[in-house]
Amino acid sequence: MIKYVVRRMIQAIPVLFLITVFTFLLMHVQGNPAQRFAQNARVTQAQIAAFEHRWGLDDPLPLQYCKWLGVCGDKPIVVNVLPPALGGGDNGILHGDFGYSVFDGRLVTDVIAQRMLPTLILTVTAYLIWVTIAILAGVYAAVKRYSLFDSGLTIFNYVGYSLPTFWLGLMLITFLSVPPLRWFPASGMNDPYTTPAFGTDSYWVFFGQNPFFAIFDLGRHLVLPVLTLVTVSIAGDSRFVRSSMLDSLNQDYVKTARAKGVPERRVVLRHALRNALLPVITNVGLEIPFLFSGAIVTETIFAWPGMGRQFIESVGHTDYPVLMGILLIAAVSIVFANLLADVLYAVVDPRVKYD
Amino acid sequence: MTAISPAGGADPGATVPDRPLLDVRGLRTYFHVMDGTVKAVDGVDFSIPPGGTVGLVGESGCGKSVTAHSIMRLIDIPPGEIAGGEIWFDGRDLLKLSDSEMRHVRGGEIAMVFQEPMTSLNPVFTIGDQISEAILLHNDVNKKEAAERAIESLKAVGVSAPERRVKQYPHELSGGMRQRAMIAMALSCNPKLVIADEPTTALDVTIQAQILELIKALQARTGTALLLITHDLAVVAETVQTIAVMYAGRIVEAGTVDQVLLAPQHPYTQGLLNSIPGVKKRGRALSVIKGVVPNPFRLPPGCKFQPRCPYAWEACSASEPELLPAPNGAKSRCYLHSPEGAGRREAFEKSVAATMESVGG
Repeated sequence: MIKYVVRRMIQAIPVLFLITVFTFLLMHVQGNPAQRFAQNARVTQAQIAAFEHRWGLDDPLPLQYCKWLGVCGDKPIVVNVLPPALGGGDNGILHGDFGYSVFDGRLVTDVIAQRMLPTLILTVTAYLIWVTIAILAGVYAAVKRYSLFDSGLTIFNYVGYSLPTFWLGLMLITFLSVPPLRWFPASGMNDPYTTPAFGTDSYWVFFGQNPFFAIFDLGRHLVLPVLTLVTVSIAGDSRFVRSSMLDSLNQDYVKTARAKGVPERRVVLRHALRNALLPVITNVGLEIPFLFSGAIVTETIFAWPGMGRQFIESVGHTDYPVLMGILLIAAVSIVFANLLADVLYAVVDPRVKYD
Repeated sequence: MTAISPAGGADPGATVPDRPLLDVRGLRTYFHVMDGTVKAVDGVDFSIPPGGTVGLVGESGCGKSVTAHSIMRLIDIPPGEIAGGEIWFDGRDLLKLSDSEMRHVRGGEIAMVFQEPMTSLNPVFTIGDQISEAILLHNDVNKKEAAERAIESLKAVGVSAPERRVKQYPHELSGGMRQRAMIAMALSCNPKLVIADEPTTALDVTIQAQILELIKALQARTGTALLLITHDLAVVAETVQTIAVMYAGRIVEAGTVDQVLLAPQHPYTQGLLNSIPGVKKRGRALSVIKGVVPNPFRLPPGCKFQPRCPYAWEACSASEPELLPAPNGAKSRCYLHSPEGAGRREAFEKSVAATMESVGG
């Protein structure tokens, strides 16, 4: 198993390399970020040239890529790729340097780090809720096939799966956060009148002083975005669980278990469910990258200061170093979630052996 | 079977002499599906004495497996429905038991061996887990004792290195080994009746013979009654005492192995025997029963075999015959054995003699 994991890690290297190439090219086909100053009468050609030189935009594309990767640098290539501790360079993603935002000059790693926690709070909460509900509802619907619950879930699934997230989010705001109901706040992570902005130093001081209020406030703000994400995801996942469970319940070994005198509850929860969850684990594992990349539409609608919203903002600013950083994190998490799903599969299914 | 008073039986453990262990009377199992109702089993009667062995024979779709599943009450309801009849087992009508009472019968008093050892064992649990689960359910033992009994039961069915096998998963065992494990699981709680539903169909011929030998030996040693369900006449010939032949949800012929296989009294049984390839028939076309199994939604009037039967006459499509006693002591659902059929019996008997000659006994 360890051998398998190591081999998969090594296999991931060329994949990740290709991902960096595509990410880089994708970002540069949209043009030179300096060009957005071209229409500005108060910016001179000399200033644009200085901007381009400062950001290395006047280098040929392959050299730009090479520098971003951290292979080319101040030192010879062979030396530059080594870790800084061994006398290598300190530039480029190989050395953990994602560059600076062309919009506000902050380190890309700082920008992402600041957005990561809000995204994780939102996505992990939603993920735990939808996976739990999808499994429970899917299993129950399969056991009570064609019952009122099953039909109800089927209708919910079709409707929920067809709903665009932006529309669902806007409807939730329209009905639940404006008068007359005003049950839940429509935007942000906390109440700006009572609480400092999330993530700032004063927020954490406030959090230390009023932990219960801070968590309650955060929870209130979580309700609508989580509801939006959960509705759409349950619709897909519970359908998957249901069909997997139905498949499992029709297997011969379930009949064998009944013929042994195993109580029905145990037949369902032990014999059928254990087998039905095998494909579900893969499916749910492959949803993990979403936790890190964030929910672009939902975060934008609910003004949630996470990765997804940062991505949209950076697109607006042609802030390609930040965009490349976010895309790279999403790509890396997809590669590792695939590996995790495969490893988990081998852990739970004795028939699968890797070596 | 003679009439039995089912009212007694205060002590379910006591087996009254003369009383059959299993007595299926007028069993009707229907399936209500979108296109109508399939009468998969329509009035089946048979019984098994304690320690007796009965073979239920017929081609695919004749209702033999549904009969077995009805006895175990493993029919999915809906779409299935046990529309009528009684299943007396050891003094109780199984169809009247509560779900929890039935659960103790399943596995504990009646155990089942299925056709497909590849899919009948749960792939994610070890062999030992699956056998001890049955033991734990029906016996007052702890996990350790159950695990030991699982090893013993594997040893009893001739599995080599049972201590190692209990820790293995089904996919690590060969088909024959898995079927042995299934049999070990079935016998682990000392049931009074074992229902084996096509236990050898999915196995290689050499393994088939081994498994049949094993079933026979275990049956003789433990005194467990056996209901063997198969489409293979050679399998029943070697394994059971009495045979019931099913066709289109009914028993068409019942008798001892010798009666049924050496002197068939129903044209369908004769047809089955006639289609066995034999050495003496080498070079000739294989004989088949003409026609096809009737559509379950549109069963023919009268005798269900009548459209395919070479001896059929008007009476056969007018009404369905009862199970009539045949001259050799067996029972046959055929008008050839009624007074009206006497004239036609000679031709049938001649043809049977020719069949037996060609099959070679």
